[in-house]
Amino acid sequence: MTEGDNFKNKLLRSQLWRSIFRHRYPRSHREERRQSRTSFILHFHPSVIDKDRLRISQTWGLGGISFFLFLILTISGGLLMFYYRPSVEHAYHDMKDLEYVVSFGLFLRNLHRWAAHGMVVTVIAHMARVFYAGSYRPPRELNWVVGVFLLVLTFSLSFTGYLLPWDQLSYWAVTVATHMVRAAPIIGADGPFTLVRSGADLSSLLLGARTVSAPSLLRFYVLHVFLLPLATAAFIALHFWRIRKDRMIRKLM
Amino acid sequence: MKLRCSRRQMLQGMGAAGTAGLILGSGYVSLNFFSPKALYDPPNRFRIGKPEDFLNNKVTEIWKERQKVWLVHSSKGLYALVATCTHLGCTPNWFPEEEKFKCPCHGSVFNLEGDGVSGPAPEPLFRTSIVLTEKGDLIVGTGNLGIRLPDQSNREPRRSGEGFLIRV
Repeated sequence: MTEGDNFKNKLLRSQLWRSIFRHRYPRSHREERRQSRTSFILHFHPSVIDKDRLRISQTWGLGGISFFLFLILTISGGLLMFYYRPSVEHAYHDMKDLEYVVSFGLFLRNLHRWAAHGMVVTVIAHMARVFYAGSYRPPRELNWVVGVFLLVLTFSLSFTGYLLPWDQLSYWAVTVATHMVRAAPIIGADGPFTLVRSGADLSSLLLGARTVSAPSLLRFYVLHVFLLPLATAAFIALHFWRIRKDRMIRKLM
Repeated sequence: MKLRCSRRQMLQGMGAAGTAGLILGSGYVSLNFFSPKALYDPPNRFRIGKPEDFLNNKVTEIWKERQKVWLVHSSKGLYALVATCTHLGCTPNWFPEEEKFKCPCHGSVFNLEGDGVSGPAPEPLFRTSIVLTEKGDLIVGTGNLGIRLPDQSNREPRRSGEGFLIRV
């Protein structure tokens, strides 16, 4: 036995190691199944699954890819926050600094942007797959509704992130979009059956003003980096939990 | 000597080296990302005007906000004091009636020379270099901080042509 093996055995038997990794390498199917029930990482997948359901074409991994993109967006976005100040004075210049001054800033910004576009695509594709496979049927109908909330949250994250560069494109895009909100029935100032006046409608609630201005940038920023990601993470947790706890739809297509 | 190494040990070693490389590499990249590449501080050398402009006032405070510098005119001449307390770095205030600089944080008091009168400050206020150009302009350089110790009324300039006092 070499020195290295000795150290490895000591490490594997130490309290520190065993408090983190509760299981040894599984020696039987029974042990394997117990571990996949009690391990945090492994419990994402069921301990037993039909062979047919393991086909890639069963899901195309679209939900998993969406979650992976969400993780990339959370990490790259968190790093971008170190150099971005959400004020009219600084926002555009901080975005330019990220592109031309900060090390790997351009890479992070592009990563964030393309992952965001990608997440919208994969979430829609995931939804279409679930629809065409009939995976929304009981007992999974609630998870379909949770998925619809996640779709809306994905769009909202995309939309609120759009304003943050504070350039001409984002300014006028959000101006156009919030004007469309004004045409909403009842709660939009210009919509049919309106009950609210301009300055107190849904558009003003979003913008914190009548037009896109300093309060709008701050509101979109807080929504983009705090409220919407928090809500999305909570719904993702519920979505994952339900998919493991709801009974399977027995009949395969 | 022949080195014996099993296939498993070889692969484990390569895996460990790759992981170490990944951790070191991403550590370097992270450090690089967090270290600021552009500082938006004011320039550390700036022109303040002609000596005659400052003979009416004892202390000129217009550079205190941004550059953290007072221009002082005393019986000895013109010099620039750094508006940073030598105790723990707060910004003292100038009280013209008492002719004292007082630090609001821990009560250090300095006289017009920048010498500590009372309070915990261990050293006098620092001085910046001040140069009179051939055209007659005063240039203050905050990058080259002169430290005037209590027993040295005026230190020798660090570089030729750079001093800490302009006699008027």
